[in-house]
Amino acid sequence: MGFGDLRAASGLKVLNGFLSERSYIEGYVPSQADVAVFDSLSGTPSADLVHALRWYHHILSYSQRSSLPGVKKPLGQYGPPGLADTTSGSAPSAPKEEEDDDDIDLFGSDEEEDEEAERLKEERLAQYAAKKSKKPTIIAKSSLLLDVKPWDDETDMKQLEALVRSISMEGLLWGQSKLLPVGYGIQKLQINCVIEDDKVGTDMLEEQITAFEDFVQSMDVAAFNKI
Amino acid sequence: MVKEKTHVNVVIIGHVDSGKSTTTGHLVYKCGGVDQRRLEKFEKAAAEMGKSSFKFAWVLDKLKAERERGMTIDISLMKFNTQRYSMTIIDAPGHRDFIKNMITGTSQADVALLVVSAAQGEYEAGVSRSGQTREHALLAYTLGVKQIIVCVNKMDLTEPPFSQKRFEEVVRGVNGFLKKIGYETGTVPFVPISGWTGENMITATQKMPWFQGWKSRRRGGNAIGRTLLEVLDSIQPPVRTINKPLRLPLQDVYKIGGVGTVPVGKIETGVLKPGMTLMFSPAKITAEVKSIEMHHQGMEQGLPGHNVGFNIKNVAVKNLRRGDVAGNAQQDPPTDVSSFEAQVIILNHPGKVKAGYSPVLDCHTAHVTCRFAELKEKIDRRTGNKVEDDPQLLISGDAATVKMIPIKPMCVESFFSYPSLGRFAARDLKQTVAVGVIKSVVKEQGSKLKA
Repeated sequence: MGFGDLRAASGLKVLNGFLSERSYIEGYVPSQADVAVFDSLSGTPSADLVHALRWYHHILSYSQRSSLPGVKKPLGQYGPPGLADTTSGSAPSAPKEEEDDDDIDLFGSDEEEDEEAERLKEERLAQYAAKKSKKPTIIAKSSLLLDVKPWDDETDMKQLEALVRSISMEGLLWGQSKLLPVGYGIQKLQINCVIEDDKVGTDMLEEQITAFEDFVQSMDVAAFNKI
Repeated sequence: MVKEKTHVNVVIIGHVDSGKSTTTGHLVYKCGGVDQRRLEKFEKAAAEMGKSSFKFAWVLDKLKAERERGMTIDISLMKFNTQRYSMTIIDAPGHRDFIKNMITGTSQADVALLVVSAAQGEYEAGVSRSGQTREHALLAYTLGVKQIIVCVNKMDLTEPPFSQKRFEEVVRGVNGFLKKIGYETGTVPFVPISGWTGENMITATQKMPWFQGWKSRRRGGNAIGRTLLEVLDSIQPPVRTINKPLRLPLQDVYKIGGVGTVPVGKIETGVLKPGMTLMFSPAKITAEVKSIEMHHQGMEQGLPGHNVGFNIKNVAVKNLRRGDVAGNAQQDPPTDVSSFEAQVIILNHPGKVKAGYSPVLDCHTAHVTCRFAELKEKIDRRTGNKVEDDPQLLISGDAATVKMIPIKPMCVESFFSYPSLGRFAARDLKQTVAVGVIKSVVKEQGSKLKA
């Protein structure tokens, strides 16, 4: 991957095309990926490259770019596939970053490491990235145990359970459930479900479960674990 | 009669392939967390398939598959025993809603177990800026989990295997950032283990003769030992909050025919007894407790940690709601706050936070919009020192002292006096944008007095 030479018009054109359908270089929030590319530009993109220009001004508006999340990678790891990075002298402005580090960066590095250690670290990270890319990506899932509480001792818990189980969305699997005594004849429904981390949130579940307002008073998460 | 063991919640944190699930699984498997019948069934199956030598891995896989199908409730709660404690393990998922749950949820962690991989490249990736190790440790500290244990995992995969040099390198690195986060490093035990092959998990290994054992410096004598299980057994028990005034945030309020109004919630501090006069805030209602029940059993008193229902006299259901806090009217009764000062860390906010920003705060069971009224000072998260007065804006990663004003009545407390009523998650755009702990509160003087 890469943009070609970002200091030349050809590279900027690739960047413009790349940003025509993206807000950021990577993901949906500004990150060090944006900073890396930003730092390698020689100046403001020309006015006809509207997408690159829009992005440039946006990134420029962050006064403390070094504190944006993420890790800088070589330019060759960003951008459209099929192109290499040929930007001349594309080393990011490292010294500036180091200065800011101590105060701002949330997880700033610990001490001044000498170059040798730094090089070793880079090497190992590269190995890790290579190894990691061969592994199939595993879909991250969590196991949730929910407590669903009725209004009183006369709520039909069977009906309540049926309603809860009627909720369906992608990445949600209902599991076993049981009724637990609370006190004074009240019971609560404790139900297990497995969710895909990227698709289902606890807020969504709570919204939909408490929407059965004739049956459900509230929902609490009793356990939340990685699978 | 067997004395009941003290209950402790342990949250397992670490980078995605630090091997924390394997480590968790090993503990649960070896320390009585899997019911015997199921275990025998799996072990028998493993033997039949000729997998006896990989028995442990195979059983773990089966258990994972069962959890994935959601078929059994019991294994979704992972429990095991040490000599002194009964422990529940929370294997922290990477899910974006987990942090909120850790703050307001029912099972708040007493101890954090940080798992770091020593394998080539994995350690480096875990502690790099995009890695989860630092963020998790920082959150644990901010949320008041002051006891942390570090496992240097995958010692069987270092080069050469069980390398002392690598262990020391990892310890130095992790110690460095734990110190910056605020942990007192002398108190943090480090154990070299392999969650996969079991070295130093339950029994001390011969493969690392250089390891002299872990140490934890603390008041009242140092703790020492060699295995992870020993470290877990040596932790300081959670502070008993039985002597504090009563605080009981309501989860639900029921109307029961023939009984009356029954609020339900978890006792965070103090003792609840029949006959006691309660004050509810922000409802501003007092009522006498007639009786208490837990799991349909009558009780003479409710203690911290108990999830209880109680019957009160002369209060209509509609006057109380989730988010109200009950306390003893005679002993530091709970009150609404007109404002409070909190130390917040901005986590995932895509833009800039300025004075006037009003996200929804989740604090105990309350769910109230609060305004960032005044950004007082930006602080260094690690030292707590001020770096800037009256900052104009805050971005992700910043820590600051902020004056906050709830837009409707709310009862919160300082973290110092009532920890679980003094920490919160701020939610916006369907994610946790900030977490915070409350430093001080300004109590509402009561409008009646002013008028």
